[in-house]
Amino acid sequence: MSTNNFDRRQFLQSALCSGLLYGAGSLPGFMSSAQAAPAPLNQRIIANLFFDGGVDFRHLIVPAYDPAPDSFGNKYWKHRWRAHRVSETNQATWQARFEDDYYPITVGGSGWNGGLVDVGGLNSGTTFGIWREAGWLIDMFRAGNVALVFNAVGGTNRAHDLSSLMLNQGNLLSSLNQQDRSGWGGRLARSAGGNSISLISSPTPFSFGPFGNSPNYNPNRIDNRELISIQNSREIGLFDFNFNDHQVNHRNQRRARTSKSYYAALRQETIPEVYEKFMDHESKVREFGNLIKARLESVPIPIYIQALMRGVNGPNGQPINPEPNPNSENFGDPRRVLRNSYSFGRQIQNFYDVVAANPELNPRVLSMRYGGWDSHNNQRVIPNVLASDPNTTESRGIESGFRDIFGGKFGSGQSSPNALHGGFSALWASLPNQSDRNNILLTMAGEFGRQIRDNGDAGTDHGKGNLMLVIGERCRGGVYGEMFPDSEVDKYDNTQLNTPDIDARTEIDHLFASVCNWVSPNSGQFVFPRTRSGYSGTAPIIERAGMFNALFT
Amino acid sequence: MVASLNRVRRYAFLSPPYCLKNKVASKLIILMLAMFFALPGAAAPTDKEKMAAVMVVINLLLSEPEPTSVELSLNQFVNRQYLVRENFDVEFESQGRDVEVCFVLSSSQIQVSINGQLQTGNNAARAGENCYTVPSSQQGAENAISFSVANGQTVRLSAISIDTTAPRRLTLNSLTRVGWDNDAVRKVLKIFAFGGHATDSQINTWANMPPRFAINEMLNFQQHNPKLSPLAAGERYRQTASRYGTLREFAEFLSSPNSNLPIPENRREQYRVDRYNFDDTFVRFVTTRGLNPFRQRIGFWETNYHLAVNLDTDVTREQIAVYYDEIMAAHEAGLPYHQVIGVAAKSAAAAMQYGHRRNEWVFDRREQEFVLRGNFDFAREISQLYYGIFGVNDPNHENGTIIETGKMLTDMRVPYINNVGFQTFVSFETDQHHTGDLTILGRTISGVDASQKIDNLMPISINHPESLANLPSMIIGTLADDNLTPAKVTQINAAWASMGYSNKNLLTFLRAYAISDLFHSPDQRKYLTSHERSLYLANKFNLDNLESFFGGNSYSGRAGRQVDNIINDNAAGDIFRPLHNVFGGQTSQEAADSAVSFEQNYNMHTLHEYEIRDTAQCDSCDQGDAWWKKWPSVLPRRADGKYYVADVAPWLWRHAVGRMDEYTELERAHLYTLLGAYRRDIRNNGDIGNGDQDRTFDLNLLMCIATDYQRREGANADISLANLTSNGNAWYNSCTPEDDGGSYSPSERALLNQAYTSQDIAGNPVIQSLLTQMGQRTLDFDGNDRVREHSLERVNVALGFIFTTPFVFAEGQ
Repeated sequence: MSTNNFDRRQFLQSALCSGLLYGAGSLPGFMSSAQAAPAPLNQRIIANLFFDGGVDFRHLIVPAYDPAPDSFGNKYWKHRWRAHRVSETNQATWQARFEDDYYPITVGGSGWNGGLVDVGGLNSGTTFGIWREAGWLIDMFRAGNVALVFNAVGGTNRAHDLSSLMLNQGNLLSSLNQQDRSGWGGRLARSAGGNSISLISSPTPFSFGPFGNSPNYNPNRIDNRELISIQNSREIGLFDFNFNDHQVNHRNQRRARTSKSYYAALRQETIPEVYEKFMDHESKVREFGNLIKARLESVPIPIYIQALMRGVNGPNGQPINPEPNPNSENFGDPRRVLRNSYSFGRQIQNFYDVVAANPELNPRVLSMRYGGWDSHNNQRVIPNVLASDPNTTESRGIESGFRDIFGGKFGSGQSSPNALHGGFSALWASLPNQSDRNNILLTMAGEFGRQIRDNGDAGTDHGKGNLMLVIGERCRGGVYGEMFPDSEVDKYDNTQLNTPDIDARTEIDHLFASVCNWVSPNSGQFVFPRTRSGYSGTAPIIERAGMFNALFT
Repeated sequence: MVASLNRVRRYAFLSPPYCLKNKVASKLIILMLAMFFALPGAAAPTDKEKMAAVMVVINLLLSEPEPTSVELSLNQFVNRQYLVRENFDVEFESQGRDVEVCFVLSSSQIQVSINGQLQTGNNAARAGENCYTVPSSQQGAENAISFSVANGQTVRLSAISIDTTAPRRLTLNSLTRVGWDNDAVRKVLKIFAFGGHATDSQINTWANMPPRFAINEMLNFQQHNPKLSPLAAGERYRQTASRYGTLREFAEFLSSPNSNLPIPENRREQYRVDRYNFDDTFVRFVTTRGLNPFRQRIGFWETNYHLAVNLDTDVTREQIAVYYDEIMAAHEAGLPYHQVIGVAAKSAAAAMQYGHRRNEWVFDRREQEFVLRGNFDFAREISQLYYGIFGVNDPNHENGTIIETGKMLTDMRVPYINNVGFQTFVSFETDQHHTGDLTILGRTISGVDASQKIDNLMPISINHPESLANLPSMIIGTLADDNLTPAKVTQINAAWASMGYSNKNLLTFLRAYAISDLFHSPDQRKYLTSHERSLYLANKFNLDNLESFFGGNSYSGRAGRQVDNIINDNAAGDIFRPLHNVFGGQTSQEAADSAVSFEQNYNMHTLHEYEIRDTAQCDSCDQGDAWWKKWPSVLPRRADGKYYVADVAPWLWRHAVGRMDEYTELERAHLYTLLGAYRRDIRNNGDIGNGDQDRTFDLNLLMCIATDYQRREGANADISLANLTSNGNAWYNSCTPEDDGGSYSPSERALLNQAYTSQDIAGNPVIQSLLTQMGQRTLDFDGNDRVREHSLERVNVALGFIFTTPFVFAEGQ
């Protein structure tokens, strides 16, 4: 074939080991010999959930109401009354909102279980609340599995696209014209010698792999050989012909063979580089599909995960999330649990399946996305039906998203057979092995935070600093950084400040480099070069030096 | 002399005034004749007599001798045809620079001399387009390119142009006619017009024009561009050639029970502006002939990427339709781009999307001052998303520009009418508007209401240094090139800036870019998003408006190519529901890295191959009449009236891919097989007939059958294509699972699994022989209905195969 740049044969020698017969090779990192049962997860992986739109985590985790006028806990509620849908002046409504809707925890005091850390003792005695419907998050925090990292920053500006790029690339020095750089997830996968798997169909730049091999890869170029995206893990694969059928009688099998034969031949020829990706897709989807199909053929989708997406009955035969309205023709019927069931529910199912098939897929980095956080208005919506149907999937502003992600109840105690699990709660409840949970780490961040005062539209505008979360059973839970900085108090009433936000004190580099090291020892300095000793540029800021040194148990 | 790229002709000098005089005289005589008959005192011939007399004179005058020379000035293009019977001259004065002279000849039976020097060998003229470079050093005060033909011969000369050898448009280097060819035209259409619907003939015509003339015809914002989107030959649904050019009109047309459409009346309402399938309406807006796919391509980009709004927010479908139409009307009117963006900024759709319709400048009694009640979302994005202004190195951006812009965007109400809903326009009020001057982007912005202030801000925004640095690459980076290097950005920015302060025009910019050496360089690459790819392939597949209207649906029969389902299956975000909300739809990079998009496309054309194969004919879907796919009207046909596989296969490749660089033995072999390997029957007398051609074979199966048949029958077995595809002992009983215990034997499996490379194919005499035979087979569109249907189906399937290759997912070299 024509032209330049890329010799498919060379690629094959390293990648597919194919001779003239196709289907005989395997992709790098994809193992053969699939088995039909969920496999225990015996290697560490991270799953990064991108809160696309700039999430207001100050809505999820809030300071306790404080009647003292100059306190943070008073200023916050005074300047957030529209976003919380409480009275502007009646402080009793602020207090009620906190007490009714937030689970209170005092650092070092009530609700603060042994094992939780307050790095540097910055927050001793501070009382905060976690939105009560984020039951899984509450339980995970209380179990010591959630690190709340305050005053963190993933993007140095308030522009969605640029900040998203910075966060996903793990490079706060990136500019908008540098889209062709790798993501920190892709670099980690390469460093760890595994695959980067996007649990959504359109992978984010977080998943994009670097060019070259670890640790000598070039982070400023993209090579996505280890990246695969999944829309539905139960259906992935390329249609193929069947040797048990007489080929003359099956048009679609003949047609499938034409394309299969064509790609197998084309792979041995030289084509322009721009078309390489599609060659890779053909081989990856074909092989990935075969492997995961073989593994999952007799592995059912767990009930709680099914319930995220559609109405099903629980283990005891009772409907999960039944329709409560006696006047409805669907009264008592099971309903899906998640509002964003099609995308996020599917991502959870894909997550489960990738874990179940991990020996074949060799995952090291998973990427997820949940959008809809750009809450300039109506940050909290209270649908009329909510009072009679607390499990409605009607829009509740950003609280719908929090519920989808963090909802449910799961922890050290027994869950109810009909427990109403949110996304991660259902996943945690469904993973069959403790080793699965031990080896999973979740990272969660948005591209930027929101301003500390709400706007006149019951929402919040773009800010900078924010809260980030690291969750896992090997994570040393607690609070990292000053939760509600004194320096912010004065900002609230300062009318000279038009757009006050959370000061950025900790750039992502050290935090996520620690995460990388947990997944693959010593990888952090390669994935986040600014953390490398001897780095000659401006070092990333961190609120307290070394505060992530003991992030994991 | 004359650097040449091929071709030319001879010298004869006749002065231009001679021709001109003849024309003037003709007109005068016609005029006098007409006046004579109109005189009151004249005899009164009958109307017929009058007309006959006039026609005699006119014909006499029109039969004037063909001109024998033409004089050109620099940058001139003579878009007419001359008949060269003996001699003809193309003359031009010294240009003081190298020039390229091009023309088209109907035959190579002609000689060309340049300033008296006969062009021979590789420089000899050829049929088709010829271009010669005439260096400045070899130009005289007067120059002539002379054409001569032998006595009795006639050669048509057309499309003559003279241009510099380094043309520029804006500040970008343009292709010359030498570089501007059929592939270049197709590339422009693929990227900027979802492929368009232009005929091969029109594409060739454009390819034989100077690019700056061609591009003006190809890309314009009129509601109808008959050259880019002509009606199909014999088109039954012709209304869109002159009407329904706006989205609202088209939606009304498509959904109305009174329209003359093949869609059943009870299935039309879904396409109304306010109905659920409005996105499908837009798909048909792109694929229906008679309209303007370039206009829709830009409209799609404007409303789904650059100035995106989202049905998943508070914006209504009606508001989006108005938004779309008003933006495109502004483009059609040729407004400077900042005014076009101003239209978007002042729209109801944007006010709903960002919520600033609620923004008020009101007195706060507690604070004892005026405050902005509302949000600052659009206050940021009107600079950032619309112009690429981020406030880099501007300490006043966050606390100055954005806050002040928020004040500007006050009292922009979208009226609400009970039981009707929100209106599609903004009412600019002053009661709660910050009427005072504002400081935005360092400039004072005045205006009694938000509308005036926006109008005053837009030119400042588009000329802001950040906008000048970012907006051009935002445009080109999304539309046309995923590989923008800093050097390219510099050139693009310079071209943009060269349009001056107040007249940056998007169309002028895109035209200059589309014929530039940047766009046509090997460094350019563009991954097609799911939307771009599915719409492009639909335009390559559909041949008439019935197919567009059906869009893959079945109404008493399936027709057309689906689009919306593909976008959905790719999880690429619906039209008008951008994947990234106001930041736009699926990006090229996302699409390219989405294995899901690849997988869905692959399985659609294999597992569900019937969906594309099946759209060949229906008995009554065309308002009770039969409909047949119009492949015969576009496929190449030889003088004997037949459609040969050897002609059709490369035509399909070029049609779908846009160039032949990747058409090798590998592609040829599979396409020949899909088109030409069909079963024939053996008649009672032993002759081989055509049968109904229903059964088809793929390359691997055909080779497996040949090999197995030869193994069973011996080395001398007849493995001709005719025997393999007609002899049941071959095509049905060879290479089967039945003779091997219910499954294929290892050797058969190996053959079915074989990957035949180009080299294998070229070196395999059996395959070569079969290819030769298949190439000589024809697609019988004139046979009985079954044969005709299956011939059409094979073309569909062959095209479906091309649609699964890597080469439809991207554009690049």
